Amino acid sequence: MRKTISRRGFLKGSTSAIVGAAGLAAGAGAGSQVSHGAAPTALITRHADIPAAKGTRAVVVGGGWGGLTMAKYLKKEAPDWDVVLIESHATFMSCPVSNLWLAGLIDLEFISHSYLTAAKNNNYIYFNATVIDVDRSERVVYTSGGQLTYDYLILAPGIDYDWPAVGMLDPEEIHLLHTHYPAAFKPGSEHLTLKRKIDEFEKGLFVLTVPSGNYRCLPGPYERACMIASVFKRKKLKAKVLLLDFNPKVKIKAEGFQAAFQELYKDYLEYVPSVTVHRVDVLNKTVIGEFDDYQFDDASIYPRVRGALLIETLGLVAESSPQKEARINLFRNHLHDDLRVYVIGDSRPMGYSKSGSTANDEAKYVAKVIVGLDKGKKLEWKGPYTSCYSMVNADPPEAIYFGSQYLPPLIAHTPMDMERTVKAWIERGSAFAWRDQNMNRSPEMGQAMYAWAYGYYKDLFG
Amino acid sequence: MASRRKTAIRLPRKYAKDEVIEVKTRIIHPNHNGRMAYKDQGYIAEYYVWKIEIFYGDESIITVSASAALSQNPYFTFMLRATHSAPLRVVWVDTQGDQYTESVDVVV
Ligand SMILES: Cc1cc2nc3c(=O)[nH]c(=O)nc-3n(C[C@H](O)[C@H](O)[C@H](O)COP(=O)(O)OP(=O)(O)OC[C@H]3O[C@@H](n4cnc5c(N)ncnc54)[C@H](O)[C@@H]3O)c2cc1C
Repeated sequence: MRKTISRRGFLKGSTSAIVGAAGLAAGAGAGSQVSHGAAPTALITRHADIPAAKGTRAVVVGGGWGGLTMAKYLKKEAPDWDVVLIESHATFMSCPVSNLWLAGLIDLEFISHSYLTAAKNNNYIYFNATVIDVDRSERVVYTSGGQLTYDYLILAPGIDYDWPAVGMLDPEEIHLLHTHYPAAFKPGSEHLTLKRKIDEFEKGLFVLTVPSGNYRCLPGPYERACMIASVFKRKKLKAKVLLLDFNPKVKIKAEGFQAAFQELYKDYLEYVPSVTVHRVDVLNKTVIGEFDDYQFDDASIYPRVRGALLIETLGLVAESSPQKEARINLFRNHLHDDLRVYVIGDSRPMGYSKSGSTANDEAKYVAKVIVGLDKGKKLEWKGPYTSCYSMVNADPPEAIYFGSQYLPPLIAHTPMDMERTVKAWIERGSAFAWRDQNMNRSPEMGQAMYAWAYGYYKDLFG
Repeated sequence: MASRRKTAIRLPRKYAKDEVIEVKTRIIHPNHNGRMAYKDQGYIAEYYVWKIEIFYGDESIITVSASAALSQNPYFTFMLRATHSAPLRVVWVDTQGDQYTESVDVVV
């Protein structure tokens, strides 16, 4: 528990004053030590404009792949619960299949969806606001649009970028890099900027980087390299994608991607393994590598990823996590000391792929866990399932595929976790319960990828 | 600008006679330790860089005897006192007996 910050005391104090909860006298005392006259009391103490809770209230933070699934499936598991989804964006934009949009295979409408529709179809409340703090002792969530209480809180805030990990420490330079050469691995403006860059590119080198660590969407940068190269090829440009990979070789679906690099994009894509980025010199358009420097005409720099800032703000980062992911029970996703608070999706510390389909399947399981625990039932652990297509050709659209189901997580916090994990791994000789792949790109697989996306959007919004 | 060859040596852009400079070397090469098996293909044969030898002029100045623990695409860097003008040559040898050579001129 985080105790040091007096702002927490302040929050407590002001809440108690307004709400008038008698039991909060101690909190009010602590709060009175703070004398920030200009603190946004009005915002924080205001009650969120949402209907009053009609039953057990579950608040889901983050309307991405994890959060949308969670909100819908909590309602399915417990129709009498009151579910609120808090999301800072007003529209949903999908990262999955966005690379196809970059190459002009689909339009923006295909990957844009309405939170209102999702809420209406699935009978929960969508609240367009940003969560700024949580008081776990009083079970209050503070947002940019006021406060609300919860019985269960599920955090699905996704990722943020870890700029220092690519040598970017100066806020001035980070700002420059982010605005000039965005990664586009968080949906929104970054993607729109990148799309325009690609559309307007005429000649020269277009640099993409693949970060170290368990980054969001392992095949994403390789798929994107193929899609951008397909545009250069179609337009017959004197242009090349230079893909600088931290890894010594293509990290996933290597066979399928390498075949595409060689057979489809020989003149339009160059793959360079083992490039550790030390820094990016934005003004001189240069990636400073450990071994070489790479000058570019345009770029999209993907830094390392970390658990979303919210996880750190709330004091929930696992000490052992190099990517600042959440400190949770690895089998049931709740905080170790709080069965009312859960973390799912890309902020989790387990080594699962940070993918939409993993977040989707995990959310369905955790929804069952939460409702089950509430009703006094304990559920058998189930590893998330992941299915993942990557488009490698645009003309015609051809894709490759990898699917798997995870065994118990590798990182173990207790001897019992460890024993179970090791046993399962030895029994199967792999981190997966099963896996399935197809590395031969084909138009049928391309069609299957569209169907995949369509199916998931239906699951999230339908 | 970077060359994207399989083997590479980098010296600082500027240096003076007798200065101690950092030399970086790298080869793009797989690493199979010989202990990994695939269900249908059986064991993958040992295949990695086991020796790196560095010559300054005719003199052998460093010999690295590596093992399977050496990474894939090994990156090796060392300090050199640039005492005289001569070629700096790096020879990588892998477990299949193949040799790869790269050389740059040290000019002082
Ligand atoms: C280019 C690209 C291609 C991809 N391709 C695939 C693919 O083909 N298949 C696949 O399965 N996965 C793919 N992924 C990965 C997938 O997008 C992510 O793994 C998935 O979105 C993770 O879900 P999440 O719920 O954890 O996070 P997100 O979907 O990122 O959702 C997090 C949400 O939380 C909100 N949020 C954060 N903080 C707050 C706060 N304080 N208050 C309110 N809201 C907040 C954010 O606005 C965001 O909407 C791809 C990703 C990218 C970028």
